[in-house]
Order: sequence, then C-alpha cells, then structure tokens
Amino acid sequence: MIDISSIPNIPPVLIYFAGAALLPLFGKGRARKIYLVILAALGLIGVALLRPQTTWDFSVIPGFELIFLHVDGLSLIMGYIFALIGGAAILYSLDVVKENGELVCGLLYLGSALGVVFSGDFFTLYIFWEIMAFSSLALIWYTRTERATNAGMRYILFHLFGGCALLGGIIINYMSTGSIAVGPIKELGIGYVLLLIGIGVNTAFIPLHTWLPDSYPKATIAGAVFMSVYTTKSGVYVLARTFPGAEALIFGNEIPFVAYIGGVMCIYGVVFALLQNDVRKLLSYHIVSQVGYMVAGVGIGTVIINGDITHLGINGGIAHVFNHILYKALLFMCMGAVIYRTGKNNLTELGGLAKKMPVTTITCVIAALSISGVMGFNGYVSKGMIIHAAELEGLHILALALMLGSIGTFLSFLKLTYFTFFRRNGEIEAKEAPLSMLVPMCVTAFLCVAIGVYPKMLYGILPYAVHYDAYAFGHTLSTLQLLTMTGFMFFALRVLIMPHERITYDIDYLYRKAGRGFIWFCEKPLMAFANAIDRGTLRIADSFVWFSRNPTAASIILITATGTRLMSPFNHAYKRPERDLEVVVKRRTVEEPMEKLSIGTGVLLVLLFFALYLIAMLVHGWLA
Amino acid sequence: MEMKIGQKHLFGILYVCLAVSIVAGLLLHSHEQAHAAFVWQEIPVFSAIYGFIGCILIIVVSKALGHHWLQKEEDYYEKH
Repeated sequence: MIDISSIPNIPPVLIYFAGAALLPLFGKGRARKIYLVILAALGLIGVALLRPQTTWDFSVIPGFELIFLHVDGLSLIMGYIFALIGGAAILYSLDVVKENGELVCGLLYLGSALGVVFSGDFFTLYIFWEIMAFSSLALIWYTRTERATNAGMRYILFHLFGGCALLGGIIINYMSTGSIAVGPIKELGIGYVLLLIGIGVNTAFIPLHTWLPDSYPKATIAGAVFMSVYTTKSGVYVLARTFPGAEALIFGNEIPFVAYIGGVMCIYGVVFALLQNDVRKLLSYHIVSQVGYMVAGVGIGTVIINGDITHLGINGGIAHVFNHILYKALLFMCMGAVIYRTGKNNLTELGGLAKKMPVTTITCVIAALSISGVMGFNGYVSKGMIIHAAELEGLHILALALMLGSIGTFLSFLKLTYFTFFRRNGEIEAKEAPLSMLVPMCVTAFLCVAIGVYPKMLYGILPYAVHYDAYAFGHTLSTLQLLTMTGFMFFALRVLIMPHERITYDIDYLYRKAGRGFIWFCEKPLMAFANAIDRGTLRIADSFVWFSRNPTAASIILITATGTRLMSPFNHAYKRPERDLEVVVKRRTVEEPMEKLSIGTGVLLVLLFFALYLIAMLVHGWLA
Repeated sequence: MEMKIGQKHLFGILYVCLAVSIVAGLLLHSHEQAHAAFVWQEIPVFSAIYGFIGCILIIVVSKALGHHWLQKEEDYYEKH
C-alpha cells in the first residue's frame, strides 16, 4: 500500500510541458496515440493527487518569492476541470490532428493554463499567461488559411495589449503594496485599472471581446475545443482571486461594477449569437454570454444570508466555470465533428444530420439543454446560484438581465440544434464521427447529466460551503415557466430567426477602422513629416558643404544676393537683379578653390587662436 | 420548414409543461403570501410573462440590429 501523502506535490504544468517536449519522439502512428492517452491520464492523476498547501516556491531575491504551486480549494477545482477536459480534448485530437506541432501547442496551452491556476504570485502568473497567449495562437494558425492567419494576428495583438496592461498593473501593485502574492487588489489607482483591463481582455469584457468570436471559429477543429476552455476561464479564475465582489464609488453609491460588466456581457453575447450563421461563431458569442454569468457571480462575491456571510456569488461563478467548461467543450466537440464530417460550418448549409450522426446529435442536444439551464442538466444548478445571489444582494436589474440571458441562450440553442440536426436537408452527406471523437463526447455528456441530476457531486468540491438548494420548488417552477415559454416562442417565431448567409460586424469594425487609420497615419502624415525633416537636414548640410568649399567667394555671393534682393523694391530702374547676380556668381564661383596655405601657416593660425583663447581666459579670471 | 411526426409529440410535451407550470404558479401564488423582495415577484407567473416579453424583445432587437445596421455580405471585410 502506497501512502499517498508521501508523494510530493508536482506542478501539473511540468507534466504537460514534459509531455509536449517528448511528443515528437513518438512519430505519427499508433505509438503517438498510446502516448497521448497515457499523458492525459498522468495529468489527471497528477492534479488529483494535489493536496492543499504551498510547495515549489523559489526565493529569487530575498523577500521576492516565486510560487509555482499554490494549492487551495479555489485552485484545486479549477485544476480538476482543466485536467479533466484537457484529457477529453487530447482524446478528441487523436484522429483529427495530423501535425505534431498542433498537439505540442495544445499541450503547452493546457499546461500553461494550469500554471496560471496554480501560481501563487503575479510574476509566475504573468509568464504562464503569455505562454498561453502564444501557444493558443498556434492553434489558430494551424488552420493554414489566409483568414485564419489574419485573425491570429488580431488575436495576438489583443493579447499582447492585455499582457502589457497586466504586467503594468502587477508592477504598480507591487510598488504600492510591496507584495506580489496573488490576492484581492485593494489599492485603487492606475494599477487597479490596468490589472482589470489585462484580465478583462482574457475574460472578454465588452468591448475587449472581439478577438474571441473573431478567432475561435477560424481555429482548427481540435484547437477550438482547447481554446473554448482555457483562456476565458483562467481569466475568470484570476478575476475571482483579485476582484471578488469588487465595488466602485459611482455617483455616490457603492456599485459592484464587475457584476454589472457580467450582466452586459451576458445579454450582448446572446443578441449577437442570434445573428450568426457560422456554428462556431454562434458558440463563441455564447462563451462571451456565459462568461458574463461567471463574471457576475464573481463580481457579486459574498452574500449575506440570514445574517451569515456566505460566498454564494463566488461559489456560483466557479461552479458555472466548471459546468460551462463541460458543456461548452462538448458543444465545440460536436460542432467540430459536424465540420469534420461534412466540411460545412454554416447553419444555412447544414441540417438533416440527426439520422446520419445520431450520437453527435444526442450529445449536442444534452449540451444545448445544459447551457440553456434546463432542469436535470448541469447549467441549471450553477446558473441558478448566480441569479439567486443577485436577488439576495438586491441587484434587481442584474437578476433580470441574467434571466434575459437565459431566454436568449435557450433561443439560440434551439436554433443551433434545429438547423444543424433536425431541419430537413436531402443534399447533405455525412457519417458518424470516429470513435476517438465520440468517446470524449459521451463522457462529457454523461458528466453534464450526472452533475445536473446529483448536484452535490459538484457542490462537494466547491471552494466554499454551499448554501443553495438547486431544486427548491419555487425556483424550479419559475425556470420551467421561463424555458417552456421560450420554447413555445421559438417555434412560433422561428421564421424570424432563420439563419442568413451574412456576417455580422461587431465593435471589431471600429478596431479595424482604427487599425487602418493608424497605418494610414504612419504611412502618410508621419512619413511626410519624416521626409521633410530628412530633406531639410540634407539641405542645411549641403549648404555647409557649398560654403566651406570657398568661404570667401561664398560670402561675397551671399552678401551680393541678399543685397540685390533687398535693394530691388526700392530701385525701379534696376530691372534684372537675377542677371546681375549671375554675373557675380560667374566672376567668382565657389568651384574655384581658395588660395591654399602651407601646413606651417595652418599650425601658426591654430597656435594664434590658442594664444587668444588663453588671453581671454586669463583676462576673464583676472576680472572675476 | 416541415415538421416530422416525432416533433408533434415534442410539442405536446412542451404545451403540457407550459400549461402545468403556469397553473402551478397561479396556485402557488394564491396560497402563499410571498415575501416579495422585488415588485415583480408579486406578479403571478412572472417568469412565464417575462419569458414571453423577453423572447420578443431579444428577437426583435437582434433582428433589427442585424437587418438595418450590422449584417454585411460574407466577404465584406475582404472588400473594404
């Protein structure tokens, strides 16, 4: 019998980074598949064996500790779900990913996300944050289309901006508090704002969200599954660490502004999702919307129930992170399978797949019901927590906004499943997805249902004690009313929400215009200015060269020229000043060299000047 | 958009659920003197009404935004 407590905690990031480094040794055949399955299992075991404590800290400079592995309730639950869905995504990649590079980047991305979760100080966090940005960029670029390349460029520009803001915030925060430990930010000021912007880019705050629906639909099939999980959710995690229940003084009232940002994201995401035709773009807007719920939960923070302070908001937010990762990865897997088998990604071209891909259809319906918050599926047990927290905190408008988000979510997932699987389409050719895709899909779908039916499974691993009954009668009833009415309205108004072969522009239109404007500014006014300075300097230099060839002749020419110019207005008989000038210039040009002196004369002149200088110095000293 | 036979059953379930939940909501409302924290919690079957209004609101707003302003041809960004 092995004593588990004797095994030291190993940072999970090391397992995945080492795994990524060794991957190319296994070729591209069966050996690679076996290796990947073992790696996925190892990673999961590695996280499961972690115990709450802090290990792996390095003192770089005295008082400046880098903590690679900080394990507590909050980081553990994130670690579990990241490793779990990482395993599912690795399985999903077995057949669909051909190139080793893509897998290596996927593993680096997964590892660095775990690095962010378990880092105990801001500098370690920042380093993994940047690795995450660059490794995920590769998952977009491996699509190898021009649109994907351009989207990847916009993606990395956004994340570099966010990373810079984060680093700036970290440094300012360190300067003012003297601590780099990851914890709630108290010091208001520019550092506070920069940290919020840095985290906000990854968490897709409106209007910093445009990179998400822009790049995720263009990522590779397996890459999108990875991406749907890590960037935004590690952002929510860091937000829960640094800005739990953050409030700001607006018009004299303490307002939980982060929670309201979440409410805006929630509605904004569903409104735009309803307009999409590309299935993965629709899902991407729902990430914005669902992350809105999490941000709202984290922003509400603590809630007072019967005089006790409970962490209902944060618990709800983190529970929603857990559930969302399950169903959203499942949705991306299902849509990936559809795109893999049909080669089509627009709702207008899809349809009639229910009979041809039954397993994909069933798992997708489960995921759609989960994200819509239908009773018996996992979305319901965490979304309700957040709305309940908002109600208890007296945030009326926020609660209504989140409910409106629920309605919109159910509408667009009815739309997605109906137009992908159930609408008649005789032309479509497809067969069921390969087993390596179906297995992770079924496992994830099973977990969605299991948590929905038995929420204690999830509540047991939440970071704080849970004071919430998901299946309270009144709550269940009102959700039932809301959703059945939405279902009814969908079928009544479905002609209105037919997909169209059009794209919808977002705030990214402004960014693209601004980007183009910036490039125009650099190319036109800025370049003209630079050229003018260039030419001006050259002209001055040229005139010096001209003057020094023969200073005597040059001075005579200059004086004559100035003189004639000045005199010409007063002397009307003097008609042709230019011709007279030419005569002067011809008589003594600067081209004809001056009288040359011997070196001895030159030295004598230099000495004379020195003597004069010496006298001047002496006189000056004597006078003073 | 044609209906399949199976979908008719689905509709049946949907209507029954809607009806049952509304009736239950009305009964609950008449029996329980609710400790309403918000004004709207005193409205009977508020969720169903909100669902109805919310659906229309979201669909109309998003469609109006799309048709009149935001939607462009698929190669819009390549051309402009």
